[in-house]
Amino acid sequence: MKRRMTISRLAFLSFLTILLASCVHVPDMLPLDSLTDRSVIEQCGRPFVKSPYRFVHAIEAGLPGGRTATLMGVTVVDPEAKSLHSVLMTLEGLVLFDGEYDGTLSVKRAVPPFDRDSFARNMMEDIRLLFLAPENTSAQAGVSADGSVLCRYRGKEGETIDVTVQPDHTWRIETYATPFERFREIKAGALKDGMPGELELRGYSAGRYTLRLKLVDAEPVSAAAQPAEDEADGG
Amino acid sequence: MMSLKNAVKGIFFSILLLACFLTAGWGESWEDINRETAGIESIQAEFTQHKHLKILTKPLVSKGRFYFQKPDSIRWEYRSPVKSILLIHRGDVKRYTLGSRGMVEDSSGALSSMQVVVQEIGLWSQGRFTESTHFKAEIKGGKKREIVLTPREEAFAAIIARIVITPSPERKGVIRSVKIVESEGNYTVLDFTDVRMNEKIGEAVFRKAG
Repeated sequence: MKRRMTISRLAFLSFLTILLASCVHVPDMLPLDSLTDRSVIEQCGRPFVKSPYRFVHAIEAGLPGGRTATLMGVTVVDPEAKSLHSVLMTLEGLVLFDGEYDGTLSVKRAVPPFDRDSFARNMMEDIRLLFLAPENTSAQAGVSADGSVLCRYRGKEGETIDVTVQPDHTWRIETYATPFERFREIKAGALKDGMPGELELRGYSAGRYTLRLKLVDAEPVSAAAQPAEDEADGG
Repeated sequence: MMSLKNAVKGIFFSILLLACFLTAGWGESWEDINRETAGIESIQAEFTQHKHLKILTKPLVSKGRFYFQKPDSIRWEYRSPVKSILLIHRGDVKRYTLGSRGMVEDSSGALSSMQVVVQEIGLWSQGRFTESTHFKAEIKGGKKREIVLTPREEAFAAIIARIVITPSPERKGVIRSVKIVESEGNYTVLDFTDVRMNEKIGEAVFRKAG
């Protein structure tokens, strides 16, 4: 009796594994050659910032339990320095989080519940994935029947990063350890001059959450456009 | 237990109320303010919010409209860049924000915010500014008078360094600006225009987001 139960349990697990495996969509891709198809593969760089940029977004955070909270976010991204500076604040302008990452993370200000180390780390990971190209530039690439270009990168922690640029130039980014262990998923849309008016990030690893970023302002950062010293006067 | 974030949010709106009470005509002393606040029934005004941050080259500008009805009803409505409405009415606090699912209620921390707001309103509506548990108030300056509020508690001082309220020199009883200084280089300036006092405001304004 006990043996029969074990066999049926094993059979069920096998069935479940096959079922789950069959759910994984492996797109039919025509492999691209890194030399001859270089211009096509370069499309995978479209999502990422090429020069220092400053973004202001209205961020709608979807939290567990169906709750939502809307914040304003200011982000400065420098792809050469691989640095990020992010400020989160309430609509009324009260700063809840101010942090920088340039290889090491430094938090200048964090109001509870944004003062947890894990929050700062995860947030910087979110921003890095949204705006900065993967550090490992060598990618497996392919093009699908509908013309979408997919590039698969290996991340720093061994995770897989899939960047898919669709024919309408919108894109999707996914990171995962295995097809069953997804970390993040990003969808970009409402493009205007190549800039996404809307970004949606779904996080799966550190509690499930959704961030919908609506672009309010974007401008290149140059030395001449640095904040003036007198602006730093708090009055 | 009220979170610091919610308390700060509540205090922010309390500051706005303080600013509006001061529009009713304030004098050189707390006694003058106390006397003048007795005549206020309602206030409504347009506002422009300039958020200055070190990370920004130009301030982030938000615009909206503000309504207050004695004793403690508030509608603080942003029109841009994000449409959002905070309603405080008869002890009930609700916030609605336009998002991907339309105008939806933002449920975070409403009750805690309300507790702080009501607590502060209770004092200020009676002109008892100096009794606030959160801020120490001081009248400064001669001709160019300012009211400076500084946090009493260390926890708040880490978030808000001071608040400076400047009255309009042209129009008696109207403030020119409210400046909330968080840290060096990070501050918010609220400018009020089209200030109207003691005009009838329908109750629905404080109950409905639409």
